Amino acid sequence: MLGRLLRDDRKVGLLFLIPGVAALLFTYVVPLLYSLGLSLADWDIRRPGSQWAFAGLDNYLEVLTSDAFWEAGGRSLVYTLVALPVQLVLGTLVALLLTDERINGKLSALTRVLLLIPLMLPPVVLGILWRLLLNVNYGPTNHLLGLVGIEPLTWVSAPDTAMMAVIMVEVISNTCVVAMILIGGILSLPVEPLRAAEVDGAGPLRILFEIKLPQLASYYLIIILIRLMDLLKTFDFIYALTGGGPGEATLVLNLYIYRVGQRFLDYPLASAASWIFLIILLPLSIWLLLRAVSSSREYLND
Amino acid sequence: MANYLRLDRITKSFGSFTAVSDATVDIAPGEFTTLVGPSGCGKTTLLNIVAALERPSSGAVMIDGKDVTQLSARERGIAMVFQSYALYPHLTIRQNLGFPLRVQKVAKPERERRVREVAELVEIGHLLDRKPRELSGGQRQRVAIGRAIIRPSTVCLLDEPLSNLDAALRVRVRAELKLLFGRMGTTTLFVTHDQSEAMTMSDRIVVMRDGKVQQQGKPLELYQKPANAFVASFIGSPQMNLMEARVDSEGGRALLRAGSLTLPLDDGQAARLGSRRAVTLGIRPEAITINRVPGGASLAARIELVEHLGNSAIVHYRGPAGDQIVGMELLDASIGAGWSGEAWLDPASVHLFDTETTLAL
Amino acid sequence: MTDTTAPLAAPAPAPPVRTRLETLALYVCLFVLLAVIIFPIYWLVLNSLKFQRDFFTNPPVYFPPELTLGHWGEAMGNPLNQRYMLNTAVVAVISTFTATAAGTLCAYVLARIRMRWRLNGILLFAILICRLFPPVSLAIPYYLLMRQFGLLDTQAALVIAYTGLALPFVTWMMLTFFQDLPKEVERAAMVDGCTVVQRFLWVVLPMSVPAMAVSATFVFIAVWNELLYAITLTTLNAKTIPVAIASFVGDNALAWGPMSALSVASFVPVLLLALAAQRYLIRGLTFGAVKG
Ligand SMILES: Nc1ncnc2c1ncn2[C@@H]1O[C@H](COP(=O)(O)OP(=O)(O)O)[C@@H](O)[C@H]1O
Ligand SMILES: [Mg+2]
Repeated sequence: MLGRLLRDDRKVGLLFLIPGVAALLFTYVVPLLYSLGLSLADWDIRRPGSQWAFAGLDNYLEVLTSDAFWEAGGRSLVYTLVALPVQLVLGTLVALLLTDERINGKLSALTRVLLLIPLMLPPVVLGILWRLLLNVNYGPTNHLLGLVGIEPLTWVSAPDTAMMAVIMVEVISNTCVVAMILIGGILSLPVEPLRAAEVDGAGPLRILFEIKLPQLASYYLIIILIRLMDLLKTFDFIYALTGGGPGEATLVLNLYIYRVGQRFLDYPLASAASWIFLIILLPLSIWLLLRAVSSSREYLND
Repeated sequence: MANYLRLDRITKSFGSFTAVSDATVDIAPGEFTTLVGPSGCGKTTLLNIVAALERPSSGAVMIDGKDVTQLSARERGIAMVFQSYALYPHLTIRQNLGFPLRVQKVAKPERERRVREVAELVEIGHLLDRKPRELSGGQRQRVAIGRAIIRPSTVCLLDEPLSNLDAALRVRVRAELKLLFGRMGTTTLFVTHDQSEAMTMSDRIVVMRDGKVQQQGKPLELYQKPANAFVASFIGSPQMNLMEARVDSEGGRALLRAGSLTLPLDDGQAARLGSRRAVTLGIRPEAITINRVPGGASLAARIELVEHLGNSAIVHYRGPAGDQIVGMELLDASIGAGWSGEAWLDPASVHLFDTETTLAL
Repeated sequence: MTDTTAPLAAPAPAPPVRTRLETLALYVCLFVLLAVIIFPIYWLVLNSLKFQRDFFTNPPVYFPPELTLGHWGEAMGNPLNQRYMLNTAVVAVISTFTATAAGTLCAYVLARIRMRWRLNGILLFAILICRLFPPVSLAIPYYLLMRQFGLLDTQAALVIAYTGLALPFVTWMMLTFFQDLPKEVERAAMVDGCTVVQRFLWVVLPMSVPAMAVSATFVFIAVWNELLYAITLTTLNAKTIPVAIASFVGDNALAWGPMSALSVASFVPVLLLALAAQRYLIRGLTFGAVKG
């Protein structure tokens, strides 16, 4: 009986899928359905004995008509759309710098290893660390900038500069990701076309823009996909760095939803907000998915 | 002749692409049969179907009179050597060889004994404790063969086992393999895209093209009586000359005219032509020579190029009409490029094929 | 050589001033980069070793004359922190194991066994979709469901959440790995008489150990660092180090020393793992899209 079962590939396949599918079921399907139900309910956890009551789209309407949600959405948009291009450009420059032949090979190899540090730093620690560095009174950043004649900045302690500071920290830590992936790409480029271009008398800029970068197009696509996904999910380091403040200056959507849920305990509203967030993300997600799946068509067996 | 392995009207499609179409092959017990054809013609696919690694879209596989189409590889008792050898990279050579026995739960001492025996047979006794990546291509190939013959099998399948070896080694291993399998008497199905391997090693050859079986038979049968123009040009090196010929007659005798060549036909050949006005004419290079053939036909030709092989030479002629034809000479130092004269052939040695169907007449 | 008619053969002249200036500029850039990478870490380590009196000075003290291990003692000697450290380790190890095991099994089926009803495609799509969800949208239902099942503030709750978090990643990474693994070795095992299970255990698994180790390393690091689920699902018993570090932020900031010490302590294991997996890092960072 068991012997027969173990000889049938498809039955064994089902057996192998059980743990994974069960995990997906319990950690995605059930919670998402629960959250969908919650978003359509009227329920207050703070009132003892409160029961779910069907509320239709009330919560959705409340979210959609609240300024706070749209402001948070706007901040997420600004955060993502500023951080992404800046780290792409900086990451490219760092990658080019660390693969430049004029720089001592050992030194650039060492620096490549050091790029791991900002990359692997726990996001909470990243937040904490920059809290110390950017401290207006006792932090070294303002002092060091003062040495080169720059006036002290308020960084994360004033609403008008906080978002800029958050983006700066994000850029510093994730420029390293971009750089590391691109370094891998640059080092795997064939050298002959570069040599040929040199022999043909092309200048360094022409070689860069017409030969090197075009060959890295697929790397940029992957980087953009991955960074976009992660930027839209960012929570940890902003939580530790500013907690969304001061006021609401750095309250991006993820923190907004968290605050509505865990601070104000309005779970139905938070659920509705996260579903709206998901639905807005959907076109982007599907586009990302199709790219990922089409690039891995051969990975599938059917 | 008893059919031991029979592939009965096997068809295999991948989506809309048909890799093997309606293939029927019979193999007698103990026979060394070669499946030959150009790359991509479906040889591996057919072999995988025999090994139960693929299911045929239709048709049946029979071993020793029993229909085994629904059985798995282990139930069919097949042994197989893969083109890339497919050794288990994480196991030592000893463990690689012993793996099929371990799966069959053969006791350890017996396993050890068989491993040593087979290792001696394929001459890798000194490599038993290494990992596959520490072996050369030739050594890996021996391990793969050892792993295939370590347990009794109904049929042994070999998928281009020589193609990853360098040329000199290939010729040597070819002879060794033939001896080894001859001695063991295992029914063997051997795949290659190299017609000279097929010719030298096989009891029987099955020629495939585009998923279809073209012809099967003894090597010399295929050489002498190719069933169609493809088999004719595929078997034999250098390739047979194939040219389009017009049927004509002169003084009541049938003639073929192809470029610079005019060829009188005997009555038997003329009868086979029937009412055709055009045929495909095939002439083996070894039938064309600069030495006068009594009663033969000749054409005026100039030698463009001579490829010396040492014991013989391949001669490229060009006729006055600009057509090319390839001939062959046993060593004759007197010929060289630029020579002009007459090339001779025996009209009885030519092959005739229908131009439309390419079938032999 | 004075033969000016053969410029190609002439010895390279001393580099012109412009080239040397360019090289100098490159080194300046490199120096700035190194400073941006190293200084923050230096500052964090320094803060964990400074005496309390050196914290609140203007200008800040960059090279304190004296250092102390007092903050380390305070941070690591605190039994609560020890417990959080242990929690983090236990949760990270277990969820790394479950996610890697379940994900590898899934990936193997997706890559090698053609299931009925186009299950392969459907499952892959589902798994990819899961990767795209912001964890915030799951944190609230997790909290309420765990509360209902009495799992709040337990390690089990975190293990469940983290297994879900890591599963899509592991599945995708292992899928790309299995796809690159030649099929012929498994076919040989089939011919040698192995059932699927034997094939998987005896042939595929031993060959996959390095790839599994790489995905496991990434999962471990991600789980070790995770804050959102931990802060949502735990309060005391199952609290992890990131939550402990984050909670320093609340009580406004006199304990910079212990906070820095705890931060450094939580970073060290991650850094060691990252260094060990360095060779495979790019592959992990790009989810197998780049072979690195
Ligand atoms: N799994 C498959 N899916 C689609 N096409 C395949 C598959 N396997 C083989 N083919 C196609 O079938 C044809 C025959 O392949 P194969 O049997 O490997 O040829 P050979 O071994 O003679 O070189 C090839 O054109 C190949 O592309
Ligand atoms: Mg093949």
